Parts: sequence; structure tokens; C-alpha cells
Amino acid sequence: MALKVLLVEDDRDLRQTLRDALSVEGYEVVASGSAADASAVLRHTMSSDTPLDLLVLDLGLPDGDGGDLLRSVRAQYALPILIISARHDDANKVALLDAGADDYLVKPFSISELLARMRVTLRHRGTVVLAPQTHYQRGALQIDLAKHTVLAAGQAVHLTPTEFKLLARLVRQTGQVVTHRQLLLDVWGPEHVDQTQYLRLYMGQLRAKLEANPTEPILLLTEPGVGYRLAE
Amino acid sequence: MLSSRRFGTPQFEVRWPAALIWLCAWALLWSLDGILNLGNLALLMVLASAMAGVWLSAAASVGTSAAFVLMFNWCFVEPRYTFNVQLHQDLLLLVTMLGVSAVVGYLMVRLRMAAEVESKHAQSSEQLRELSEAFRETLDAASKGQRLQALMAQQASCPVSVLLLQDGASEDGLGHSELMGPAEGQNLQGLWACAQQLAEMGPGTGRHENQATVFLPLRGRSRAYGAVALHRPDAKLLTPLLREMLQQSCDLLGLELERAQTLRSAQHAKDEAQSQSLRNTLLTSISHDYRTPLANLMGAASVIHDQAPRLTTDKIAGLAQTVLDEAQHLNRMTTNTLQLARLDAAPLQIKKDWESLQEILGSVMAKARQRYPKRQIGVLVPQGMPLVHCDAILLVQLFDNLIENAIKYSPENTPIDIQVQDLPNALEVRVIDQGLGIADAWKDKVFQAFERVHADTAQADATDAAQLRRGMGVGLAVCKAIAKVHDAKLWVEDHQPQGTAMCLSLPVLQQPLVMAEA
Repeated sequence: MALKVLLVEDDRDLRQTLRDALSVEGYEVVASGSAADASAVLRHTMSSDTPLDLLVLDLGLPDGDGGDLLRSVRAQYALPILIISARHDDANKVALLDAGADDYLVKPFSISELLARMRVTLRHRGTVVLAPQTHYQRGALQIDLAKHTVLAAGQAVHLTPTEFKLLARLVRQTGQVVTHRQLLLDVWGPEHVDQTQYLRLYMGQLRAKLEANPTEPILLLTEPGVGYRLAE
Repeated sequence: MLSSRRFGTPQFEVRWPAALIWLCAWALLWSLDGILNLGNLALLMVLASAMAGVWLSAAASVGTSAAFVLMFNWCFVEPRYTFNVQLHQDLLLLVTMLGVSAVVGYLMVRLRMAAEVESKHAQSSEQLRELSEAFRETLDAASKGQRLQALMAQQASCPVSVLLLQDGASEDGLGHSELMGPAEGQNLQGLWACAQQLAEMGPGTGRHENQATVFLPLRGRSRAYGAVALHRPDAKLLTPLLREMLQQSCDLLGLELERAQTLRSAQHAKDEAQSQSLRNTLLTSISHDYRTPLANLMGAASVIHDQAPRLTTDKIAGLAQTVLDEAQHLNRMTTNTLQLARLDAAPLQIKKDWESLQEILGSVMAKARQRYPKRQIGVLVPQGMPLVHCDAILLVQLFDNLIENAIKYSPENTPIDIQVQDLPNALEVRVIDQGLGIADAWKDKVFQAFERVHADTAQADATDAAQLRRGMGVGLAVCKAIAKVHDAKLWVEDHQPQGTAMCLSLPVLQQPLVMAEA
């Protein structure tokens, strides 16, 4: 059965383009041009037999801020949300991620970027219901959170407890960006949420242990001004 | 303030030399009595009277002379010990002595008064000089006003209020007006009226004599820049001379305010012209830099749109690639232009955090490798670099522009090198290409928005290689602006044997505390 996506975008041309592109990829697309319309669609479909699988949300809507819609959706449904926005400032991005958005994409973007982000977001769908991801493998790196093991090319890598906690936090949301604040909160605790220097230091140590070239990481990616992302 | 004693004029208070002179004169008279005749003794009296007059007021001089003439008459004129005068000559002597004393006394008083006025003038010009010096040292109008207020209050010994009018201030709240000291109702109206009419008012000025307050305008060349009110000054203390001096002080401030305002409006006009010229260059540049990619975009898109059925799939894919490339190019230029405008408007509103330069370069490299998968780019980063306090997004944009520039301005088969040096108080990053290099004359100019090293690339129909290089004018200007908000230095060096090194020196601050893992 096709995955059902609600696309909220006020620009008619872009809405049409995205709708066509997503349909070609086999998604069932419901398109909406305003916050009010999107709310109505959400009310109807979420209680029906075929609820939505993903919300792709533009921030600048004619009848209200997409951010408010995001918060109300997040409060009611466990629906993955991908933000698309023309706003560049990262403070806003971080605020949205912290408010519960699963990922964001800054306009202009290519369709392939959008599809990749959608795939990641969909894979994390139901993180609330299902057990979170505990296993990660890419290239020569294998991580098993349950067994508490990290293997690089078959060799066990020794991590300090904090390094492991940080890595584990990223593994649970593989492919998605995790904000600085979220990482500091989950790994170091609420009193450290502003002390990004801890993150810089420990990410540096993790990269030194896990990456072939720590300067150009392929696993532990930096999202400048926002957070970190563990590559899929 | 200065004491008038400094100017060395005799004072009325000093009287004792006169007494001494008379004492000596009488001693001489007694000792010479009988030796010299009466006429010579009388001459001695005249001399003493004239000399004593130097230290006495006219009235005192005439009075003492008269008293001593009577005493002389009593003691020395026959018949002695009576006030009778026998001879006419003796009477003449008495009259002469009185006359000489009076003339000497009068002359001395006039001399003293002239000296007094002179000294007051000198004093007030000294005060004006000090005031003007003080005005030159203080920058803002308010403290100049306070300075004047303090001086006037001291001079006139009464409360003083000052109203300052700047930038064409009027009573309707236009411009910028500032009131110091107490002034309400009539006094406030008086201040405004005085400033508007450019004339003194109040007792002793010939206008509104019945007022208790004296108003003095702060006169500039063409209009008043405020007014001063002296509340209930002591009428005796406020002589015309003092009032004139106070008015001169006021005018000094008026001229000073006028000068400041002229400077301000000149600066404003200059800024206006500069921003106008920036706007013009911006428009020229946008019209060129944006039209070229737009033309390519439109060309490619319209070919696909109109001729798709007759084109091969390869050809369509190629055209689509052009559309993509041009759109990306436009996106980059827009981001740069917006960032430049933003940094220009609010350079202090950036959000700095502790960042790792290695991470920043890593994410820039990831993008560059994606865009130019075939280009050889080497990165050399020392281990254990200190953290940098910066805005990561801005630094990413800076390095992204430098790398983009290096790639576009050097042959495709030459490598790009990025090197970081960990210096004691700074991190130095060099982005090195092996292209043609930049001539010395252009090394500073490249950072100005809309200047281009390769003038020929400004032609819309330039060659393919030149086509690649267009539109970097804003890019380097943004880099410079970003460096500036980070107190970093950005400059161009020649790279040996050939090519250009763009160098950025980022200051390293006191590192934040990181507690070691337990």
C-alpha cells in the first residue's frame, strides 16, 4: 500500500511540482495550501482507516505560521513531520527541531534531497510506539547498543562512558539531525544545555576513534549551527 | 577662578601706607620747625598729601588733607594753637593743599577704576578661553550645557537652567531639545521665546524689565541653539560687564553647537551619498550578475519546453543540468547578497558559540566534494586545535566562498589546498589555488563588493572559462564582512611558485572550561 503524505505548501507551482514528483515515486499525496485546510485534512484522515504517514510542512502559510501547526500536530498525533522552509536563520530551525519536527530542509532544495529526507523520517515513524533503533552498521563500523559494543573493521573500539552515550543518542535517530541542545540534555543533563564546548570535544574524540579521516567525516556529520547527524 | 590680585592693581583696602606717609611728614614737620620757614613746611605738607592720595579714595584724601591742614594751622601757623589765619598767603596754602589732594585722589580713583575694569575684562576673557577649551574637550552637547550651567551659576550666584536646541528643534517637539535645571511655566516659555527671538530678556536688558528672571540666548551665526535662564539674580552682582561676559559664554556654546550640527549634517550627507552609491553598484551588479544565469536558465528551460519531442534524452539531460547549475549559482549569489546586506545593517546581531574549526571545515569540504567530485582538494589540519568563538553558519559561508573562488579561478587539473596553522593567539587558515594569481593592485580591491579581477568576465558573452568565474564580487565582500564581525583578518598572499593564497586569521580567546570525565 502506498505511503500517504500530506504536503502543506502555499506556493501553487511548487506544490504541483512536489506533488507530481512524489506521485512518481509512488507516494499517495494529499496537498494543502493553508494551515486551516491542513488542520481539516488532519482531523479527517487521522481517525480514518488510512491515516497519514508523513507531514511535509512549509512554514510560511497565508493563514498562520507553520510553526503553530507543527506544535498542535505534535501535541495530538505521533505523525512524522518534515519541515521545508525558505527561512535561513538557524535559531528558528533549532527551535522547530526542539519543538518536535523530525527534520528540516531549506528551500531551494532538489527532489532527490527531499526524497532522501522523507525516507529517513519515515523510517523513524513510530519511534514512540516501537522500540528505538539499537543497531547501526555502515561500512566497517558496527554498533550494537544493547550489547554495548562498537566494532571498527571487526576490532572492538574502546569508548569512554560519555562517548558511548553520545554515540548511542545519535544511533537512536540515525539519519536525522539531533540538535546541540537535545544532545547536551540527554548526555550531560539539563544543567549543561548551553555548554556546546563539551559536544565539540567529545565529537572530536569520537571522530578520532571512528572516522578514517576525522577532518572529513563520513559517519558523524556536522550540521553547522544546528546539531549533528549520524549518516545512514 | 582667578583672583584679581594677580593683575597687580592697588586696592582700596590697602590704607596703611597713607598713614605711614602722614606720620613721617609730621615727624619731619616737627623736627624742621624753626629751621625752615612756613612756606617750605607747607610744601612738605602738599607733598605728603599728594603721596597719601595714592592709597586713599578721593573723599578720604580730601578729608584727611583738610584735617591735617587744620592741624598744621593749629600747630605751625602764627598765632599758634589757634585756628586763626593771619596772613593771606597761609590761606592760599591751605586751599592749594586741599585742591592738590582732591585732584590726586580723583586721578587715583579713576586710575583704579580703569585698572579694575581692565582686570575684570582680562578675567572674563580668561574664563571664556577656559570655557571654550572645556567645550572642545567634551563631546556631547549635554555635558557642554552642564559645564555652562555650572559656570553661570557660580558667576551670578543664582540657580540657572539651560535649554539646548539641536537639529532644528522647535516647541512642537521636532528635532532634539534638552532642558537642564528647573524651569516651568513662564520660565520655560521665556527660554523658548528668548531662543526664538535671539535676544536677551529680563532686568537690565531693556526687554521685559519687570521679570525676575534674566534670559540669555545661545546665539549661533544665524539662529539661537537654546537659551539660559538666571533665576532671581542679585541685581547688584549682575553688572552690565558680568552680563556681557555671561552672554559671551552663551554665544560660545551657541557657536559650538552650531559647529557640531554642521559637522553632523555633513557626515549625514556623506553617509547618504555612500549608501546611494552602494545601492547603485548593487543594482548594476544585480542586473548583470542575475541576468546572465537567468538568461541561461530561461534558454535551457525554453528549449526543453518548446523542442522536447525533437531532442534526444541526452540533450534534455544536459539542458536540465544547465538549469540546475544556474539555479544553484543564483541561490549562492542570493545568499551572499542577503548576508552582505544583513551584516551591513546589523553587524552585532550574530550568534557566537564555541565551535571546532575542524568541524566547520569538514562540513564545507563535504559540500565542495559533492559539487566538484572530480577536483583534487587537500586539507591539512593540525590535531588538538583550540575552539573558536564564532558563528558557525557565517564561517561555513566564508570558507565555502573562498573554496568556490579558488576552484573557479584556477585550472581544473590543479589542486586546491587548505592549510590550518595553530599559532599562539590565532588560527590561520589558507585556501591555496594554483591559478593566475592576483596582481598587487587588486589585492585589496577584490574584497570590495562588485569589483572583479578579470574585467573581461564582465562581458555576458565571454568564453566558457570566464563564464565560470562570474559573480564572485559579492562573495569576497561577504567574506570580508564575516571576518570583520569575528575580529578576524582576511588578506591575499601570492603562493609560490604560482597561484593565490586567501588567508584568514581567527583570534583564539580564553578557552571555555570542560570538566574531565570521571
